[in-house]
Amino acid sequence: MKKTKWIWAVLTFVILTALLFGAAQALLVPHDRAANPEAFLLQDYFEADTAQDEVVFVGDCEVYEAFSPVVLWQKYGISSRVCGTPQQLVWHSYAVLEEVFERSDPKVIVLGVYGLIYSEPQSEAYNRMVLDHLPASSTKWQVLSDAIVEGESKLSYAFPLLRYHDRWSQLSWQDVTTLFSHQEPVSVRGYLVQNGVVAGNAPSHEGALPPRATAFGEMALDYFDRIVTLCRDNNAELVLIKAPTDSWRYPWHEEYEAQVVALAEQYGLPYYNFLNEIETIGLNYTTDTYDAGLHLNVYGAEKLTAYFGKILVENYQLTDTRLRDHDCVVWTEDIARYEAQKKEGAK
Amino acid sequence: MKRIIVVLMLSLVLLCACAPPLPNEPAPLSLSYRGLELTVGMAADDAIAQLGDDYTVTEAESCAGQGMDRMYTYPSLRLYVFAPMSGAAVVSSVSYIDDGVQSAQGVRIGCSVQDVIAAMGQADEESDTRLIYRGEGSVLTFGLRDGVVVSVVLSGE
Repeated sequence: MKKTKWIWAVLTFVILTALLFGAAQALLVPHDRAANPEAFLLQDYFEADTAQDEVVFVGDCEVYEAFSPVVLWQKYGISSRVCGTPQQLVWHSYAVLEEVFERSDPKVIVLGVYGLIYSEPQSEAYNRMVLDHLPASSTKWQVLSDAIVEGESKLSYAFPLLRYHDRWSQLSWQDVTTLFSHQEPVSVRGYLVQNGVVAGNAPSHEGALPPRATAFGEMALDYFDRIVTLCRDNNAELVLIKAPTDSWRYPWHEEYEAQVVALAEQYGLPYYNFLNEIETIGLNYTTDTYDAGLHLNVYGAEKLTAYFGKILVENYQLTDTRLRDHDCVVWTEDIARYEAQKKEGAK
Repeated sequence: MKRIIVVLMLSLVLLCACAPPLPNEPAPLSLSYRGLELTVGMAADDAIAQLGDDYTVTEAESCAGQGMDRMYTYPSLRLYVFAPMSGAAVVSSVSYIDDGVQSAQGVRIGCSVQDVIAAMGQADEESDTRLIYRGEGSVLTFGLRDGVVVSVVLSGE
């Protein structure tokens, strides 16, 4: 009898502690979507119904600021989604793609190639924007080993409370209400609408630092190889793209281009460098960028997406989902949010 | 006894003086400009105040709201600065643009590989296209074309 009481007492203690830990964790992880929407881009993905996606984009801001799934659907009926995050490196993209293939059966994966220039972890902030959102898996654990920077703990990605415990002094009433209310997505299917216009010059890396290294690094190439294998194992075509931007801050050196061309040839992959197609796409860097040419704004993204959509329908067997009632209902909601954000701006 | 101790201590001092230097942590690398030694991580405001105001500045917001990147262009030099959301701005990279400036060791754009090695010692990494020297938290890279320095960049590791 006494023994049973003890067992109950210990069990109650453990359950209460776990509940308290869970509640504290939910409260303390950052919730401020308005201040830092990029940090929630992948959360949008994991909260959405993604089963119908036929085209999925992965990469850094060169995908989530450059391709609008709404335009792909309106013009071509392609059901797509962007799974990009700031400075998404190749190992991040690999981990994201593992999850994408768990949830859907995409026919085309579009990989932004800019991440290939990095072969070592860069910063915790960018790690968090991907790895905090991924469900627990052996891949996540393995990628964590390669991705974390000095001073980071792998365990804090399983239990974010270990990382955010000192946020208690910054807690606001908004943190509490966020827990109990529905949060609107920050993006429209992963595309982050930027409607500002800050004129820039034509793409050029004048003033940029020279290439980071003479060749892409071992870790980047290793994960690139894994992405190729993962796509092949899942019968998805892998397409490489370079967004039509080149600047002192994010330079696209000739050395990078030569290596991507060589990689594409080595693996037999299509590669589209849209820097070579600026006139055909119709981009104008006085109106189509929100930060003087570093990234495209929504007007530039719409032009690029319309151009790329044509390539997709001409080269891949994609379904025109505009003819399906269910899809029309789903897209109506996304289109309404897109148009509202285009008018008001997402940020 | 006292004599023995004194002799032993003197021997010890001499031994230390003759011994090769212990392998220390590499010192931070720097690039000179207008009498100032620019290093990665130094306070940017101080450096800019001392370098004069004949610069142009270009800036870009980090795409994840982590802060601002700024590029200050002076005659013959570019200074790259990162200004985090909170905290002081720091120098993130420095590069020589042309041969109008030289490092404290006398290396400038246009020098030969041999000139660089003579001035700086053997590089930590060498290839046909670059010589790399590593210091504490920083890397000095000399870009090469046909055996001649075409770029000089000091950056973080």
